[in-house]
Amino acid sequence: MNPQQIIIIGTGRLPCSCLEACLARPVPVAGCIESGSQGFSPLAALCRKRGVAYQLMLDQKSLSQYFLSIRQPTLVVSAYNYFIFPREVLENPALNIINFHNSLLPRHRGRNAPTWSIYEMDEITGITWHQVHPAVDTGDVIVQKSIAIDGDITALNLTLQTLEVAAAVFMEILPSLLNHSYTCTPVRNDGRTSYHRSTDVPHGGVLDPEWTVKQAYAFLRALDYGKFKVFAPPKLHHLGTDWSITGYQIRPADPGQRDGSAVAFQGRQLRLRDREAELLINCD
Amino acid sequence: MTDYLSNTALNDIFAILKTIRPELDFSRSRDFIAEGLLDSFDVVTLVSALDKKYGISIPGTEIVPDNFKNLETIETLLRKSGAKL
Repeated sequence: MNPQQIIIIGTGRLPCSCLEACLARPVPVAGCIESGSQGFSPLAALCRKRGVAYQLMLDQKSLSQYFLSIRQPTLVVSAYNYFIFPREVLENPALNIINFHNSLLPRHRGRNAPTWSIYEMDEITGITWHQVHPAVDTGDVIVQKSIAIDGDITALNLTLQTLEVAAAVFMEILPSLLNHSYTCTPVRNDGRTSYHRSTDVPHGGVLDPEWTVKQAYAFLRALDYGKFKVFAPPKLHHLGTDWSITGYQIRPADPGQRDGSAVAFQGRQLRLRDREAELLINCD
Repeated sequence: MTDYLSNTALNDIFAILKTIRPELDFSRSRDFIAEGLLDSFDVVTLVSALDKKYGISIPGTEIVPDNFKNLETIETLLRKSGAKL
């Protein structure tokens, strides 16, 4: 059934891009919803500018009731949205709900997928637009797009990269979403699927000085969301003292010291070194 | 806007904003947040760039919309965070 209206739910710039794309199409946008906000809402501003109804709905029950009340065939675009659609909402026959996920499903289902992609040193990640099913991030895949992971990228920057790709891909698939001409593929189970909760932290948030430089660097980048408090600062246990890691820097190993791996703690800095690189980790 | 940006710090902030969101015209905005020019990712990227530029560490608790409404509020935040402007 072709949708008679569109509703967008999400936060940040991705739902804005989706809204702009939808407004260029003949199917009306009935409204945009934000289910979480830290006060920075380009979506609210864009809705005001474009005359689209906007609601900030933080209460899960209200969100459920809102979606249960819809009777018109509706395409619901979940774009960087943390509201988990309950089963009764998914059973509303008027709704066709699609969701953006920032990994190549079935890899890294759940929260903070860029963190896990970096921590597990995946070479490739990507984005998935998929149908929403009752189990989180298991719905049939509409489209996926790969992104090569740069060896220096942080979780923050990888998150931004996935959002940009997701916006571009949404524009490509929108026509087929509106005339329901797209096909879906069940998520292939390659045996490497994993589900991460928001409370899960790589290695419990503690750096192991026995790691290789590459692994330690991946761990630090995986937890690096700049000043976003996605995770507590990474920790380090050294000689009976708990340290908070406040910064890090990688540089090529000194050619004169290419004599294998080494670990040194001087002052408030841990230095991990191997033949290729030296990782300087500042602690407090 | 040229006079308004004669202050070096304001010029620097303006230049950083342009690198973060080159497609947007910050010179015409009086309220970057209300007009939707910056989202939370942009603000965190801006804070990292300002930290680096001025050798400071803007506290996470200061990352609130009121501090990023325009060039003046960002400049005030920089001074409050110890930047030598």
